[in-house]
Amino acid sequence: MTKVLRVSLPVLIFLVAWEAASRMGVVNSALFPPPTRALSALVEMGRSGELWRDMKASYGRLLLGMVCGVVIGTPIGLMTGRIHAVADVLVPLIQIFRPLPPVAIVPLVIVWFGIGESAKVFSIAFAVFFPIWLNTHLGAQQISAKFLWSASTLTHSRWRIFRSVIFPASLPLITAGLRGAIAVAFVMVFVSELAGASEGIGYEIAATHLAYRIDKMIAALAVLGASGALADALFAASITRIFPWLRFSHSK
Amino acid sequence: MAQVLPLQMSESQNRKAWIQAEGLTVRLGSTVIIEDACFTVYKGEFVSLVGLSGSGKTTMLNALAGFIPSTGRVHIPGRIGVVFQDYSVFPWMTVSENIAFGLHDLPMQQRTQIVSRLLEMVRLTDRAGLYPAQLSGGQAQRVGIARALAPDPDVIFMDEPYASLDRFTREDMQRWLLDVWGERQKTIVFVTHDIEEAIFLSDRIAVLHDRRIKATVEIPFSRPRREDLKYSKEFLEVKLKILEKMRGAADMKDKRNSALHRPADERD
Repeated sequence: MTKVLRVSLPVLIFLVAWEAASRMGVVNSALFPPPTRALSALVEMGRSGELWRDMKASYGRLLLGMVCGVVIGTPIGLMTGRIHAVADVLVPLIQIFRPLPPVAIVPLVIVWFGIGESAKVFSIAFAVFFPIWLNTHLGAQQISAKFLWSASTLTHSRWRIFRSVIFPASLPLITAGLRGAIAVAFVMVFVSELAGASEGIGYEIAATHLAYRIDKMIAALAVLGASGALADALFAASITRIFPWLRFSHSK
Repeated sequence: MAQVLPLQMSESQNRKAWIQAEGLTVRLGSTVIIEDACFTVYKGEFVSLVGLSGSGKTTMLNALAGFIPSTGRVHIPGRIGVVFQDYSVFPWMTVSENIAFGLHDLPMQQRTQIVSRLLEMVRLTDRAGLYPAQLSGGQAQRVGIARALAPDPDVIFMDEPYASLDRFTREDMQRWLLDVWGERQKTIVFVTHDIEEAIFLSDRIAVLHDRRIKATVEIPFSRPRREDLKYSKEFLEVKLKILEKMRGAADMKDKRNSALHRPADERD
């Protein structure tokens, strides 16, 4: 109970202060509509069905982009972290692309892929690839030699060592990379929907901006922020369910 | 890399040489860590490597086990097992999964039998489903030893496995290890900086100093050994003998260093 209060109290105080400031004219209510008005706008968006349509579109792109990033980033990270020959070939190439702000590639992606779904999914996958790759690479690189020496006395199968030792030993950093990637994916889904989209939360924010519906903008932003926080919490909870030993690893 | 060859049995004093190292040298860049070491361990023997910090005990063990590049020749019979002070068990596997890791070639029924027998031996049957982080340090080390024993290796290398344990747990683990060794009769190479531990456990002690094995000391005590042996006059005598060998080697080094640093006209 105390923890619930500790977590919710700052949010409540913030919302009440905002509501009061907006209603009492401390801030311009046209620019800073009170949270209750944003809530009404959210209910309105939900009733009309546009909120669900936008959420479905955005989360679909986000999920697909994340899956592509994980499927490509994790094995490459494991290989560059453990196999020198692969690292020699791939790391310089990846390091050239890594400093690029993912947002900067969106115009180029539109030129390449058009304004369809593939452009948005590619942008998200591109952006999430780097935190996933880097953390996996470092995780695989930092495995204690003693784990590998022990494993080599117990099995001759390199695949088994890779699957049963290298992958789990890298997992604490892989999960850290995935949590970073979730946050990046939410940024990228918004950015990729700003141009050339007809649905999605990012599109909704851009469209309501043109219509000067600030209450709707705030409602859509709140949905995006809350979804990001929820996705992170769900990921953290599910990963320790799938790999229970990570609970002890995190507590250290 | 030292050549790890199948054992060619050689008889010495009616004992089978089980590990033979000849001219074993380990370099780290231009620094020589082990130089031209010759070392024999006989079948079923419990040998400890002792020496001051930085004398190369762990490097010697890693080179014998073939974990690090070395030159010279090492004869080892088939399979080895290893137990380290830390990282001795996989934290992502439960106790029983750790023990079963080296048994994947066996049919499931046989694997289960071996695991339950080893769990009983390490007194952890009721902890089989727990993760290493849920165990005490001594229990985790017992899992590490059970895992090393599971595939029935010919030699077990142990690198300061009890260094992080408190005195009472360590003594308990020493007695337990002697029981296991008595039961399994494995050849064990044990690295420790604790001379009492080395004497209590070993048949023979090799003293490392200045990159080489300076002396080997036979331990005259019969088995089984009891805890009160550590408080006997004979035990103390052996301890002093080993300390003398270690100190002698260190003193010789100090004398040589001070001679080298003295001005030329002051030298003998």
